[in-house]
Amino acid sequence: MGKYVLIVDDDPDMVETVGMMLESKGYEVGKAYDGIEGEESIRKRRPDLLVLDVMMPRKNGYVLCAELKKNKATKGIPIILLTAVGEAVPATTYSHADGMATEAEDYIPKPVDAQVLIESIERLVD
Amino acid sequence: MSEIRLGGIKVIEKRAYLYSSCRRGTDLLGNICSTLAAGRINLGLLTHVADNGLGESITAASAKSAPSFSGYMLGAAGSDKCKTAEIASDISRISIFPHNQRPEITGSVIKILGAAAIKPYGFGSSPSAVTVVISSSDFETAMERLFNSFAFPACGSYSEWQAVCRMDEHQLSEVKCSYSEQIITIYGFTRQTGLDLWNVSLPIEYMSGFGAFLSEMGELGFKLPFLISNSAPGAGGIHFSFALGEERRDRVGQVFNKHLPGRDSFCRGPVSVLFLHGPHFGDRYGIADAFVTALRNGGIPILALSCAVSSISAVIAGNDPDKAIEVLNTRFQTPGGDRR
Repeated sequence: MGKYVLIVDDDPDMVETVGMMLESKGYEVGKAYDGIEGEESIRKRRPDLLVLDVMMPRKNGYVLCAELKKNKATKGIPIILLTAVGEAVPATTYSHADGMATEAEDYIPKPVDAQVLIESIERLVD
Repeated sequence: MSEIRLGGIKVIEKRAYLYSSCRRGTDLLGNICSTLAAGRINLGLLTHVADNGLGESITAASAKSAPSFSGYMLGAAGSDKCKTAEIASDISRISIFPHNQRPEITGSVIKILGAAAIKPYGFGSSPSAVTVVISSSDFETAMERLFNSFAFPACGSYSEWQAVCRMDEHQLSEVKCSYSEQIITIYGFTRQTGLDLWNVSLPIEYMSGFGAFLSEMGELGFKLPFLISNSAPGAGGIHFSFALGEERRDRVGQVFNKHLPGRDSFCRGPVSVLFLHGPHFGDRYGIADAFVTALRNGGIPILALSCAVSSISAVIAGNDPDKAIEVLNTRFQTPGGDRR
């Protein structure tokens, strides 16, 4: 069985797309659709890597990322933040600076370049 | 009915819905898409069937408010091509996910609405979600029934959803920004071949029978990669277009006749479903128009279409969607391809 990657995003089609992409590369994929559900999923099974969206209901990705990085038990989980807050998008309530200030290991703007994501995952889990 | 565990439910409330029909062969889909794109109007949902089996083409769309459709309605009023154009001004869209192409999930939603005597205006599907459009006056009943029949991890009941999730849903449904691209960037294309496209028109009281038919399809191991439905706001009938594997066409017909004896169904195959994945299509105007125009210019007819959540699902004839993908690549850019 490949490394276990948990995808947390409130866009179900995005979860499906990234999940298919990773499964085709041999990863085992877990799925959660908001920050709280992602947190619960991590408690049940520690992922080898977390792919985390920013704009989500109940708990956004920045908050979840910060909490995981503060917690000794989860600090070591590599996190890739995926966000529409990038060069193609004007300023929103979720700023690019906020994203850069997190302790996430990588920060990839949407739409995700499959090759960039896979390379980032391989670099962080291997 | 046993409870089915799902990943989540998303709701968009207080939107408008356009239903339009015309004679088969009229470019209703192109007209609606181009008019809305010209008005820079975001489409939350768009469904289309080129031929419902009765010689009619049906297109339906959901957007922020009734005035979103005023440009199209003005054009339709002065045209003899349009047979029907009606707007429901206060609808809600409910999406549940993931369906994993299980027909019994969509079948359950249809049965739940049928049992509550709620008439859906339409259904749309995406690779992950099934979306239903209902009158906002039916919203509470529909949500209560859905929470009674499906289990969602975020909220255990409709009242919990109201207390915890509803405000977040409102905040996230507001479009805070939009991409501005000369060439539209997408995640990519996927495809499914070896399918039949079925068309069924039913009086609304037969809707639960159709739900039971889909549930049995699920028990038999069929996958449902595509389903749309349309119903004129003031009418008593409903139309379904859906795709199922062609290799067991006879079995589909048998089960259909068991649940809906005497009702006509129209089957066309083989067809393929082409999926174009995100991002954020519901927040971006002009996407559907770019998709439809690219295929039309490439000489590829769209038999049926669903733009829902962040994806477009299109049914095209034959088992080789490569030409369609080639044509779409002239208008959409997959990350990792040539940079601007």
